[in-house]
Amino acid sequence: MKVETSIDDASGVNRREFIKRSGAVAGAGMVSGGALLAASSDGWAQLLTSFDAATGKALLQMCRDLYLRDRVPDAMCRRWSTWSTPGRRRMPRWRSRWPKAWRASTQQRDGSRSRTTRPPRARPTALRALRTAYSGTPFFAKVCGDMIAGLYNNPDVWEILGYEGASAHLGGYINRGFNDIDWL
Amino acid sequence: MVGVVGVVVVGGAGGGTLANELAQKGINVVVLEADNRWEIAAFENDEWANFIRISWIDPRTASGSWQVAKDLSGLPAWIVKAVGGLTVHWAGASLRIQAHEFQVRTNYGDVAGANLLDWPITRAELDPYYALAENKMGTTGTNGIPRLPGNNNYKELAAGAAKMGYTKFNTGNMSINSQPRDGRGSCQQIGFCFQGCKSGAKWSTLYTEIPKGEATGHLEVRPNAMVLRVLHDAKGKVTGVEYADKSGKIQMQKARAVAVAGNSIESPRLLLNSASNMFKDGLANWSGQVGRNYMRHVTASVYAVFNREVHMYRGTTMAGIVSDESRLDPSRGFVGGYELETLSLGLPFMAAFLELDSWGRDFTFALDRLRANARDGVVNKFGQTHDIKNLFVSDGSQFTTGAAENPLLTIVALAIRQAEYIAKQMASREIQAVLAQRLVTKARATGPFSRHAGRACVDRTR
Repeated sequence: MKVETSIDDASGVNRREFIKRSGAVAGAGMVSGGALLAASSDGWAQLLTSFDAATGKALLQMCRDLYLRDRVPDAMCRRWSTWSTPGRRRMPRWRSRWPKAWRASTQQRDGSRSRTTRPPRARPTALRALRTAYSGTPFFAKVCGDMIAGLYNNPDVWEILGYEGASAHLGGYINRGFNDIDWL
Repeated sequence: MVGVVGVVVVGGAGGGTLANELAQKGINVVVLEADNRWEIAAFENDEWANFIRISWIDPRTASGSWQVAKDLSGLPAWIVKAVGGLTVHWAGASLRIQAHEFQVRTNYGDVAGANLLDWPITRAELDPYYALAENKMGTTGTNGIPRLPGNNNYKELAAGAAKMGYTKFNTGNMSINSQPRDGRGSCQQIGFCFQGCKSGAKWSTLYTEIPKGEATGHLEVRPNAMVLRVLHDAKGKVTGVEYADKSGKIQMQKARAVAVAGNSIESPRLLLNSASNMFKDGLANWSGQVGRNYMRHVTASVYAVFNREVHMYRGTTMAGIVSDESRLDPSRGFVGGYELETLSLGLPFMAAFLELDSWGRDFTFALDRLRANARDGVVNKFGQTHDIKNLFVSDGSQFTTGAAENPLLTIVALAIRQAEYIAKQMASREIQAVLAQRLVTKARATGPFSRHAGRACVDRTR
């Protein structure tokens, strides 16, 4: 619970903070981060060309609720959905059931914030209820697996989060700040 | 044609060490590994990619009421399926199990539902082998080897530990070179190295024991050789193993002795799959204990968010260890103890394991547990099965009980000790000679013999 809240608060995102964070990664991060930010304004409807808009919206919401934080723009979610779609034909049943439930939960969300600055989030209790109800389904497993590989093992997302990644080709972190914190 | 006297199934921590130790003594050994041999050059400095590459990702089944059985019932066991085994995918922590942990039954009594036993060996008995293992592995904090420098994660841990009043904390006894040693360089704090160290600073049998054994001319490693059964003769002596090679052909490898070291899921699985008319319940299973007493080196993970940047991914995965809580002290209201260890699992693993109220990762061992008494155990204190004198168990599945400490150093120490025992047994003809000869059959592996057939009935990840 603590983790979720903290990251949320840290990302009560204003644009300046976002750019600062993505720019904190050296060099190309700035450009790439900016491009992603622009891309995120495409909106929800175009999320998944292979789904109807409502399903796509529910999927994106689910993606955010389960794993993503608001700092990661929609464009990354769309990329996830592209990876995820090949499996959908094999599991037709969830299409009607699962996203619908998720969408229903979306409607009960805290609507006090505008979607352009911060997408609505499911209340923790609602989220847990959904997870309990649908855990163990092939769809749930697929979504989790795809999100982990597609989003959280994605160097583009790392860049946004200020996560520097592999360093073997750079000689490691031994001369690049492996023990640099001085605020303890 | 190799005159084989020993076959080791899977060359991981126990198997790889045992194979080299035997080869150094002039005993011919074949290591049969179910999957590939990935060398350092092939490692990806990417946690997820290398993890998928080296792990045993066949689906398993999980049952029961716990979260994993509900959410991820087909989750793989994620033991390593590659030459080097767990020594490729490990943090490097090399702690000796404490004296009191070898006698948990004596110290904690009969804990309801726990089936505790004392080990048939003591810490004092194992100490010389621990020393050999630490020297072999270049463990920091032993043999005059300096500890690794503390990275940011260690600084956090140490600051917190000091505030808690703890006194026993440092960057750990790690089998990661803090200075060049044994032909390998020192750690460059590369990070993303849990699933494979790109510089080779972290000890692994893949690039230490196994090539050293091969250099003697007495060790052959055969990758992509999935062992299907351990074979025996009419007298009940093990005669070799049957395996499927890369093309699915059934092959046979004869041997005077067989050591099984496939981790605590695959080793008992192999013994059970080797059931025959003579051993209807599986090999070495007169006690009925093969595959029971499944234990894990359980870890509970806690993540925290700091107000300022920590860059937790910069450097070794496990940056520090606090040992104050691993003491013998039932007055705390629980038996056993625990080490507090930092573990910088990166974003994909965090996403995979971070649940608000569930357990994290853990390691598996102990299914063929060591027991002094043949009636209630599978192997004796040398990992030799009670039922079959030339069949050995050489991995963590022989542990009698778990401990607070990570199991790998103990697996290596036991393997060194076992090699000594096997060599003596062979010299004294306790293990009878069997004509060494390699047979090849043309039969195609189909049905139950296909490489991915069969499902172990154990649970989730390690």
